Amino acid sequence: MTAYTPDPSTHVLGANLGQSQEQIRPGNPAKATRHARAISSFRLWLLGVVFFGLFAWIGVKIVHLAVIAEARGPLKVIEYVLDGPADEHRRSRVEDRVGRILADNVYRKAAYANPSKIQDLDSTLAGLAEIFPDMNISELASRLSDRNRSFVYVRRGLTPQQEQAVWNLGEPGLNFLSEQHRVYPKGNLTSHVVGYNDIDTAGLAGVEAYFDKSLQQGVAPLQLSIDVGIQHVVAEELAATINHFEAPAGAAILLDANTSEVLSLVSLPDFDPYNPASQSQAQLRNRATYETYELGSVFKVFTLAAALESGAVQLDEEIDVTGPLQISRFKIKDFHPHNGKMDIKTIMSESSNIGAAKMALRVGNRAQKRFLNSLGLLTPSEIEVQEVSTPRYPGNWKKTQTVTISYGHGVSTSPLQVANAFAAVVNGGVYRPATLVKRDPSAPLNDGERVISERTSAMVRDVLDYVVKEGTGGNADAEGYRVGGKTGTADKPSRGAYNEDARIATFLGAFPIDDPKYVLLVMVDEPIPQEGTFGFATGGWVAAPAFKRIVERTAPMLGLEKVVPAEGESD
Amino acid sequence: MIRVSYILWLAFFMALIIALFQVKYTVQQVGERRDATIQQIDETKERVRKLQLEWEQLNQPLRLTKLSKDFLIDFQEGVAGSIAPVEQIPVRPDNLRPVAFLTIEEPEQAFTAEALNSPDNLHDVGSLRPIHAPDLLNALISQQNTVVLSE
Repeated sequence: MTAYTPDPSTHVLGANLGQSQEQIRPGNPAKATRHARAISSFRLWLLGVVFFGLFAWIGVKIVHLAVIAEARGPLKVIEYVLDGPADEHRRSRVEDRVGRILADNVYRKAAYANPSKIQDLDSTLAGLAEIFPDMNISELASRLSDRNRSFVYVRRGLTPQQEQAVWNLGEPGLNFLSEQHRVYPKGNLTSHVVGYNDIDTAGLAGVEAYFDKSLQQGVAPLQLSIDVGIQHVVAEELAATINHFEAPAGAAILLDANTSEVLSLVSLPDFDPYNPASQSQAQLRNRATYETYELGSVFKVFTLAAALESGAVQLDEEIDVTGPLQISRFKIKDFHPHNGKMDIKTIMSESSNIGAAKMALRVGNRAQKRFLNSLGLLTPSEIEVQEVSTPRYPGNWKKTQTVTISYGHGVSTSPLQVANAFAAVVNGGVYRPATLVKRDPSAPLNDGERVISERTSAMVRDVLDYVVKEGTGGNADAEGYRVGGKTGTADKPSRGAYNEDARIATFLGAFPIDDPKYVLLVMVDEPIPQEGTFGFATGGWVAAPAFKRIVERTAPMLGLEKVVPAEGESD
Repeated sequence: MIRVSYILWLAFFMALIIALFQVKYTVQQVGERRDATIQQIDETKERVRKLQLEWEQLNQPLRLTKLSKDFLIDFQEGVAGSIAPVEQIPVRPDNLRPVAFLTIEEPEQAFTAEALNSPDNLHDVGSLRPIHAPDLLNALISQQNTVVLSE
């Protein structure tokens, strides 16, 4: 048996520290002890330093969070809660131009069932039938009987009372979840502008569909250019006109003449945004932006503007309007026939088709098409709603088409586009696309596109003033305000021909006409002549009076002062 | 010497541990309070949102028109001439200028703070008397210059 003798060369401490054999010789115990103490002391200090460093770092961090970061301001999460949206997943609010809410999301409870956990199906169904009398209980029973399902909606959009009643059933298989629900406080009034959502709050129509992505992001409210007060007046007057003339539909648009912001956009009939599925197609159809019409003589304004701008016609010249005018196989006639020459103002005030046709022929088909295109009448509108259509115009634009288009037959556009183009003609000659989004009033107005000169625009305004004072637009002459505009009465196309018994009656004007601030278009679809209109259902008899009433009611709301007539001028 | 430094270190570490625990629990408490506050803010915001929507619903133009027709006698919409520059508005003649729209009878005697707080005295104190809205409305309609509130 051999006694164990430690091999100094394998001493852990020595090996680890790489000490020499000589330093830890067993023959020198005092030195070895001192050496071991030094090493352990060194280790303690090392540990102490490490721990001190760690705790010091924690201490510094605490001081930083408690004093320095606090002094810099609240933590980000608090900041977010106080100033930011409460819920980033909430669909953004839609407001009118003064901040009235047009659409917003609120949370409402939905009741759902887990069929596998339902204890007493019969009493649950009986209880639900009592709470929701309109519920199809047999259909719900068949769904709840399927024990393989784990989720069945019982009812969405509960009222607090309904939620409490379901809760009181005490059924463990029934539960609740919070869901977003879109609310439209102004209801039908703004339905064609705002549009509607599906049950999962995805936009399906109007600005809700157009701005769906950005609204889903839950950023700042979307502020529209619409004014609910103005919208109400316009809708009320248009509805009264439609009812009076037994018309099935109509549209009215009020635009800022300079910025092209839409202050009111009404299409009647309108619809209930909470229940679009049950509405008729006639109700859902946006007649202001989606439907296209041949609006008739209001197009003469564009013909006049093109003729004056190109120099083809001078304002003080006279044109022979003796009818009929034979173009190809068509005979052009006037509603008020006149033999001989007529000056430009009278051509417009009497709404002479022959006069307009002759002006257009002088302009030429190419220039006419180019001009109408510059006014945005041949391309889809850029308005921010889903319901936008492409205008229709002849592919083969020749002499005959030039003539018919000169008085509003042949180009089919939405009323909004016509109002937008009219704004460019009367505002000094600058075209800016119509918008439903409120612009920042402090921001500079964009340059737009100049379509006619200021001089031409002034001449057109002069003529439009005359049309209301002396011509077919007399019924639009609003009390206390200077208005100018043009009537339009167009037979509706039907089966390849024009139906003389189905008309579109329009009045398109601006106020105050000497310095237009607003453009208003009133259109009534298929009005029926009434006793008070002497059997007429023209733009002058149907739409012009509505235009007058809307101007008289909205001008004070828009802050327009009453015009004091100059001496010798009738009010 | 070594023992003293050990004790000091121990005390330091103990103090540090206690402080750390305190900070930790304080942070937890603050976090819980913060969560509760955030929830409260969210709930309040939701209630405010619903109230705003209810207000908007109540202010539907059609409803306001009906209410104004039913309850605001002779209330009319603005017409041409309702809007004018300030300088065009004529100055009201002195004889039509209201002296005081509302006068309230002074109490017959001075009241001490204690007496003012007494429910028995409330009806005697002019400044605390409830304003009777129909009196104001009648005064507006009859264009009286002075309204004396009755008991």
